[in-house]
Amino acid sequence: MISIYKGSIKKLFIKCKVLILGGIAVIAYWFLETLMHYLFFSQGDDYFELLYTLSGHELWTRLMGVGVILLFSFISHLLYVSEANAKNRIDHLSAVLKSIRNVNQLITREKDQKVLLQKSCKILIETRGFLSAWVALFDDSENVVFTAEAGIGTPFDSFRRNLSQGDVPNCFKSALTQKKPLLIEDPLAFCADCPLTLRYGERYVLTTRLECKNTIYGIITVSLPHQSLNLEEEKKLFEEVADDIAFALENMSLEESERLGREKLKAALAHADFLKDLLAHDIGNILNNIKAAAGLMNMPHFLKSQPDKREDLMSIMDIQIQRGASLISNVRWLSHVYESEIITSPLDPIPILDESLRQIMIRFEGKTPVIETRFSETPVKVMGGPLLIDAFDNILRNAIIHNDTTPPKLWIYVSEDRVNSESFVKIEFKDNAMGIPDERKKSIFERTQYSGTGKGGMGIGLSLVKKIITSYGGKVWVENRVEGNPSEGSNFIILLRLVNDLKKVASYGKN
Amino acid sequence: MKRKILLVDDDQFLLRLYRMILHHIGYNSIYCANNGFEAVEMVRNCEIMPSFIIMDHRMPRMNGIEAMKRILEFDHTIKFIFASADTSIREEAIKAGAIVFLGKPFEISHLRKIIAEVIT
Repeated sequence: MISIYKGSIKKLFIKCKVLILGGIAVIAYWFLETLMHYLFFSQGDDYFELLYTLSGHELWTRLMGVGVILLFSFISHLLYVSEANAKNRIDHLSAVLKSIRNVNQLITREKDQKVLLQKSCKILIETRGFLSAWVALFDDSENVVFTAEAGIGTPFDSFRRNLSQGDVPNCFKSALTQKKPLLIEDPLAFCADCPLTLRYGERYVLTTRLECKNTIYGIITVSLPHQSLNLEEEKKLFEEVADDIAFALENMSLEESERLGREKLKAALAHADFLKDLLAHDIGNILNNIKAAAGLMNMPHFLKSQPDKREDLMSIMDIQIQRGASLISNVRWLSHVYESEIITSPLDPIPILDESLRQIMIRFEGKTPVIETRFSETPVKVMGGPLLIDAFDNILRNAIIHNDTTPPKLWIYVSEDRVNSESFVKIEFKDNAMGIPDERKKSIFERTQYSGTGKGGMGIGLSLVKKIITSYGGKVWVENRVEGNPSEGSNFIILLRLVNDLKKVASYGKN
Repeated sequence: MKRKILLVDDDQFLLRLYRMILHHIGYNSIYCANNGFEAVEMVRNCEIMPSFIIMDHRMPRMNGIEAMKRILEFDHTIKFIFASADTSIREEAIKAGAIVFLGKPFEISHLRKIIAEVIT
C-alpha cells in the first residue's frame, strides 16, 4: 500500500515537475519579496507578520509576480510535456520498427514453428516495449499443442496446463471470434479466473488470433503499461506483428506439408520397388521349380527309370502353386499393412485366437491339422488391434504350409509372463514342422529375408508379424519346440502387454 | 562321373530338383549348401573340392556373388554357373568370375547343355 502511494507520488512528480517547480518558485518569490521589503522598507515590522499582512500596491505587485511565474511555469510545462511526448513517440516508433524488423528477420531464417514463436515472444518484450507476451499454437482441431511465453515466468505453468486441458480464458475465446485485436483495459474484471490476471494487474492486454488465408494457427497475447500513448496505434502495430508471425506459420506449414508429401512419395516408391523386386524374385523361383519339375517329367526315360519320382515331382509342383498363392496373399497383406495406420486398443486376445484357429481349420481341412490349446481361464486384456488376427493367422498358416509331417500338429499355449518387471500375455505357437536353423532364427523376421525355408514369402509375412506386434508394444521371436533340436519344429512366441501396465503402454499407440 | 558338384541355393525344392536332374544325367557326387556362407566354409575346410558350383544369388547370411569371390580367392580353378531370378546382377556375376549366367526360370535342356560345355 505504501509502495503504491510512493509510486503514485513519483509518477505525479515526473508528469508535472515543471508545474511543481513553478509552485516552488512562487513560494520562494513570495518569501524573497517579503525579505526585500523587510530589509529596505519596514519600520520595525516583524518579518513573519509581513508574509501574510500585505496590502495596497505591495499586494498587487506580488500577485502580479506570482501570476507571471505561474504563467511562465504553465507554458514551460506545456512545452515540456509536448517535447517529452514527441520524444516518447519517436522512441516508441523506433522500438516498434525494430521489433517488426527483428520478427521479420527471424521469420526469414527460422524453420521451426516452436522456435519461431518462442523467439518472437522474446523479441516482443525486448524491443517492442511490451511487458509480457505469450502465444498458443493449435493443431487442426484447434486444440492447443504448444505454448511459448516471455516476461511471465512461473505463473504461466498453471496457465499452460489449463490450456492443454481445454480450459481457456475469456480473452482467448473472445479473440478467436474477431479478426481485429482485442484490447482489454481491465484484465482483472475480464478474465477473473485466469492465473495470469494478477500479473496483468495494472496493464492493458492485447490479444488476437494468428490467422493467414482463413486458417487460424494460434493466438498471441501481450500486456502493455497503462501509460501507453496511443492505444489505437498499439492495436494496429500489434496486428501487423501478429500478421507477420501468422504468415511465417503459414509458410512453415506449407513447407512441412511438402516435405511430408515428398517423404510419403519416397516411401511409396521404395515400397513399390520392394514389392516389384519381391514378386520378380520369388515368382521367378516358383516358376523355375515348376518348370524344372515339369521338364523332368517330360524328360525321356526319366520316369521310366525312376517311376517313384512322379509323386515327388507332382508334390513339388503342388507346393510351388501354394507358395505362389501365399506370396500373392502376403504381398496384398504387405500393401495393406504399410498403407494403413496401426490402431492400438485394449482387447482380449483369446476370442481373436479362437477365430484365427477356426479359419485355419476350414482352410486346411484337407491336411487335417491337429491343434491342442491351453488357454488361461481368466479373461485378460492386452494392447492389440484389428491386425492381431492377421499376425496370428500368418504364424498358424506357416506352421501348416511348411509342415511335411502327417498330420501337422500345433500346440497353442496362452499364459501370463513377466519380463523386466512388466506384465505380458505369452502366446506360444508350437509346431512339428521342419524347424528353423539357429542361425536363421533372427533374420527370419527381417523384411529383406526372402523365401524363408524356400516355400515362398514366409519371411515377408513374418516381417509384418513383427511390425504389427512391436507396434502394439509387444515382442515376437522363435525358439526350438524341443530345446537343442531345431528339426523337431518351432515355437513362435508372442508377448502382448497386459493392460494393467497402461502407463507404459501409452507411448506405443502411434505407428 | 566322378566329378564333384556343389549346389548352393536356399530353396530346398530347387536343390532336390537339381539333384534329380544331375543324377539323371550321370552325376552322383552332389553336395548342397543352403547359403553362400555355408558354401565358402565347405570349400575352405576342404570338405569338398568341386569341379563346378551352381550358385544362386539372393540367399541369407551371404549372397552368391560374395561367396563366389571368396571361393575363387581360395581356388580359382573352380567353375561357376550362376543361376538367379534376379537378372539385374548378370553383368556383375560374370565380371566376378561366373562362366555363365542362367536367368530363372530356365529350361532343363539348357542347363544340361551348359553343364556339358563347362565340363569339357
